Amino acid sequence: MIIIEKKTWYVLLALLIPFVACGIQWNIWSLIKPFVWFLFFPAVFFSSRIGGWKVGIFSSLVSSLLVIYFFISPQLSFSGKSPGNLTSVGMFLVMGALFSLTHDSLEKSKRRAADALEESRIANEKVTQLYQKTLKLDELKTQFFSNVSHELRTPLTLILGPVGRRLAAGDLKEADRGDLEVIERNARTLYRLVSDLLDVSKLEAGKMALNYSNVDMVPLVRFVASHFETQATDRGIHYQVETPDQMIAQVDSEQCRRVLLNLLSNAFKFTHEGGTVSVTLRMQGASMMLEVGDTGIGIPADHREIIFERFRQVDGGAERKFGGTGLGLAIVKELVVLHGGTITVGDGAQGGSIFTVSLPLSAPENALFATERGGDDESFERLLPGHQSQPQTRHHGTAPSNAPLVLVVEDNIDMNRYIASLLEPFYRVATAFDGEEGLAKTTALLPDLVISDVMMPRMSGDRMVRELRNRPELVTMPIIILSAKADNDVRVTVLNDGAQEYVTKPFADAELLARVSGLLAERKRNAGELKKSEHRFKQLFNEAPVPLCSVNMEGVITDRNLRFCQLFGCTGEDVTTLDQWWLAACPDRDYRTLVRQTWDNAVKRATETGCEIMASEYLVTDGSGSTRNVLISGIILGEDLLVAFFDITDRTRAEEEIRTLNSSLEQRVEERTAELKEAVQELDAFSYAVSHDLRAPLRAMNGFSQALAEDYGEQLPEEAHEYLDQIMVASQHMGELIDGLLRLSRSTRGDLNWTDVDLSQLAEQLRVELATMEPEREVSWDIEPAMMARGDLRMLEVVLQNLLDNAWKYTGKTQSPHIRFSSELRDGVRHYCVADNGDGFAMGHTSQLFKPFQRLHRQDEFPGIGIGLATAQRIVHRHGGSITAEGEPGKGATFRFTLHETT
Amino acid sequence: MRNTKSILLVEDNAQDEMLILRSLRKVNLANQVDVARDGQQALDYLFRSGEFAERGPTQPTVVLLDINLPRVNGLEVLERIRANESTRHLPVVILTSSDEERDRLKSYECGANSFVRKPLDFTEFAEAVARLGVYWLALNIPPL
Repeated sequence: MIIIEKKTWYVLLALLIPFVACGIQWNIWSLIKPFVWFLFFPAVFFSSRIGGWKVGIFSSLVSSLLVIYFFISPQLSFSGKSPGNLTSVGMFLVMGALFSLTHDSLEKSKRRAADALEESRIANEKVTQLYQKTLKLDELKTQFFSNVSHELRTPLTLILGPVGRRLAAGDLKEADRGDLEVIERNARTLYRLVSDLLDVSKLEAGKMALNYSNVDMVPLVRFVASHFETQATDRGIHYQVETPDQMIAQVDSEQCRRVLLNLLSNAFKFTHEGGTVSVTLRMQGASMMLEVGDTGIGIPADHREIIFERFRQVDGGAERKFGGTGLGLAIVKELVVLHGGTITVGDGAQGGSIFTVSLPLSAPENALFATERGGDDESFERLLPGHQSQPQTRHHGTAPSNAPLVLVVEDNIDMNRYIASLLEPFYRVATAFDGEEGLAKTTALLPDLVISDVMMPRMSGDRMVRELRNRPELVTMPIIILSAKADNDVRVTVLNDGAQEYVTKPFADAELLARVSGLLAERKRNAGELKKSEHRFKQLFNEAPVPLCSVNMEGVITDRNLRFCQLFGCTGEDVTTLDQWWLAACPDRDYRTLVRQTWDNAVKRATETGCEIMASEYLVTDGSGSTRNVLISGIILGEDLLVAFFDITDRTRAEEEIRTLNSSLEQRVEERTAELKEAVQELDAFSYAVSHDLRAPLRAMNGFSQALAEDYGEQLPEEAHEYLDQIMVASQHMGELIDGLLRLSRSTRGDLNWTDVDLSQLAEQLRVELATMEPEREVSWDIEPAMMARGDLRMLEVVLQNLLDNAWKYTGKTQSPHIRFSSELRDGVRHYCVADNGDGFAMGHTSQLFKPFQRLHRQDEFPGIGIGLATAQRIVHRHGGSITAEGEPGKGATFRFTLHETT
Repeated sequence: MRNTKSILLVEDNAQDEMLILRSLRKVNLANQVDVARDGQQALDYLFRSGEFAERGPTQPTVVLLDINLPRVNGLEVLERIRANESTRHLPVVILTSSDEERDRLKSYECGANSFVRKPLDFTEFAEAVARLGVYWLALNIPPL
């Protein structure tokens, strides 16, 4: 609909164009006069472009009428026009028609091109689809091929097995034996052909991967060649095998056997009695050469390429005589090429033909290396012509009733019976004919072992294995997969899914039996272990020092241990389900509802996450009727629940007590802190009073003694002057004591104002002060530059002042005094160190040093009040540090302090 | 000139007062000193109330003020001085035994012009007082 509308719009627009042109031209007529067609050529051009040829011609007509009426003089009239002008009208009409027709043909060719493009696209798509279909068909064909071959191999195995056993029995009539041998020979041939077909399908699907390994070719060649010795003797063929002593090569040994086997089969097939077949293995450069020659009919030169093609045989009567699919040589060639080698055929020295295989001795770089595959010899042997299988000794009779039960799942009735008959002498045997039946029987009978085919109707063997392995009670049951599919993928998949063994059909009877008995023995051993560990678990469960119970899916308590019975005072008779337990444990209905919800949620969460059930605390009534705090947790064991109960009543009580104690302790601490605060405030007031009120009387004593000495000195005797001096000295000393005390008390008061302090700079200032006070003294200083510390500037100044004052003071009597202020890192902590070579002290006195008013010297030796170091220590402690002193009399002292070790 | 310049000493300790007066006497300034023995008396003196209601309008050139005072604390006296328009610019020197930091800071915050700790040693003390007297009476030019 939209397209039609669009088209209508275009036509309307195209028809409008001449009128628009006329309008514009009318307005600008004075400028363009006398070019009457000025705007109408483009108008008609576009009109025909947009609206098509019909509209174009119509527009031309309209335009000419418009021009005649409006622009050709006399204007605004249709009459009185000059003939010249009318000619121009004619020309205009011709031009209009030309435009219209040109545009029309343009449009048409455009449309044709688009159509052609679309057609080619569709064709392309079809081709792609066809190609895909072909690919799929090809795949299907290969698949079909492979399946058919599998299906053929199974009945063949069933023919070869019993026939072999009959032949080995030895109680046959001669005629029967002859028949049976014919059957066996033909079955064997058929088997080989089927195997060839299977190989071809594998090669075609590109699924044949070589398993390289280091192989000594000599025994391999001799082993394969030996299989033809009987035939050679029987037919009087001169058979010779020549090899060196050893030749190690990196090849796929199985495929090499196939190559030689096929070549030899071929050679023997075409060689007449009394002829010669020779095998030669030799080394040539980095290759090994394997030559198989015969004196048969030979191969004409023009057929030497064709014989390696599939399904090709050299024509003529020989076809009937020698039979065969013609696949053997094709497979040989493919395998040789896969190995990176070549095969050629030429004329033999004594007539016939000679096949020469050349294989590189070493594998390509990206080759897959595998350990030597075992278990392939059986299938290899079946490929041999006329091979006699080893006689099998079979025990007849039925197994005892306590023998292990083996379930055979196999859709082929004959094969099923055959396997069952193999097993019956030793085991009880049950049978099923597809995966579903197998699954059902396994669940019902709980056999000790399952042997299953892969390809079965309704449910395949591999699916059945997966289903079985999903059932917890069947997890440990051994499964042997028996399949004609020698396909590695299937093998790996099934083994991954949980099958213990994978045996390819055709299988050797003894091998199957050996695997069955091996797995059953292992299972028995495992069962013994399991029993032991179950016993251990039971013991552990019963004697665990924690109440435990086991609950199944229905909520029934299936097991409970001693502690459980002791704690809750119940036995298996009175409380059988978890619900009953809750009823007894939580008599209060509302509380029970609440905790049941908590518990159920925890179980649900544990089931979802696969974790253990989160422990929660519950208030539970025990057997004696008292309430206990119990932590209930558990783990999910399969479908059972192992519930553990932790009685934490005592712990909870202890915690409660600790909490009470803690809170009362906190209260006491608070009270004590308040008391302390008060005491500190009192001390504050006290020191303030001391600073004021003790000083005033001292000043008076000092002042008046001096005033007395000054004002009345002349009237006083010498002795009175001395007394006055003593008063003054004493009061001065007392003043210093008071100041020291004040400083000491201040060092423990007030908040610390933490800043970065340059200790070096501080020490330098103090050094200058000391030097100024006693300029006559010559002391050598050593101050380490830029020692930074974090602390309260004022307080640290007091510390340094005290320490440096001391050093200054006690070096007063030393020759060449030296004071050093430095820092060092000990155990990651910065130590500041003030050392001097002054008077020192005995280490025995260290403990005295930092006590207030304790002095090690007499006043007349070194004056002082014994409060500086006490103050320094308190400040250092307030900074979270420590201070120590070392000294030796006459050798000097060292003070080390740290700051904020702990912060 | 001398008669118009005077010192108001606010000091409750009689011994300190004697020592201060002795020191001022040594520099011939003792006769220009008025003494108040507590904070209230000092305020009465400055604002001419109570026992000093009849005092003339002349204010002292400098006030030497102790902090620890009976009745009205020295710092409060200072605050009241600074709060009153007529004494707002009056130079006040805190002269005290305290070397507590909080006293010192508080004094300056309240507008003390100077903070002097009474030295314990009498010689130093006498010298300090004498220098104070000379400085404030002779050297310093008051705002009014």
